[in-house]
Amino acid sequence: METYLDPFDALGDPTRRTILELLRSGPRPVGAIAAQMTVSRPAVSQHLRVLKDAGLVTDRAEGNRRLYGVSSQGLEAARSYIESFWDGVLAEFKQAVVAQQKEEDDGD
Amino acid sequence: MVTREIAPVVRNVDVPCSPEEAFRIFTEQVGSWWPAVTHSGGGDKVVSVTMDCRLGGRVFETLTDGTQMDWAIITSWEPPHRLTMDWNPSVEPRPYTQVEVIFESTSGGTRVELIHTGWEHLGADAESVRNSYNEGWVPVLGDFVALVTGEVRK
Repeated sequence: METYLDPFDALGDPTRRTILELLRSGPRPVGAIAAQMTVSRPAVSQHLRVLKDAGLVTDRAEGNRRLYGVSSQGLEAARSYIESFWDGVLAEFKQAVVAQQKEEDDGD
Repeated sequence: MVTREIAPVVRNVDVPCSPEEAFRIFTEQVGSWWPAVTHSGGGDKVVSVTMDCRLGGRVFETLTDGTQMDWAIITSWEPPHRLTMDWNPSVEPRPYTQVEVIFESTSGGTRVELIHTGWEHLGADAESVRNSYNEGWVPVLGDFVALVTGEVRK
């Protein structure tokens, strides 16, 4: 997966988050996305390009249309991000327990 | 692409103490071990992390200027076995995800299992949960973002 943009930056925009929400139920062409939004079709295209560059959206040709969908790789990246978050937290928790146990042992 | 179920994040850790002790440290003493510098909104401006240890209690950080930032609400309180939280460490109103922590007695002590679910409540933000953390915990979580993206090694 080639990524040109930080997904954090790409998702900082509420319009882009709305586009991703729409795509969650399945791939759609630009027109169908724009029809459900208050922004213009060219604006939607622009946002899609940013999302694609950030690795969060993929596109494919189907007939004469281009369908945009959520990238499962983007999802996996989000998952491993959260995993690493909790790994850090639980490691600190374990250290606290071990330190307390040691204090109690020393106190015996 | 077909919409798919979003798998829970499951992490666990074994600690050398009883479930009672593990539960107590995890909850009452959260402020003593939570890595707030890296895993919080305020980073080095966080003076404490607090859990109101009861059903409906809040989990929050307090900044040097006294501001409190909510992280979660306790939705199950079953010491020393289990607690669940509705989790949204964000300044934005946003659907909660669910964090469940289970304390299980083992031969060597206690296994603490953490299960983070409910990504689908975020809609496409499930994808962008990175962003929810980025926005919510930075201006809120900058240090942590930098840490996991490898820009900072402490």
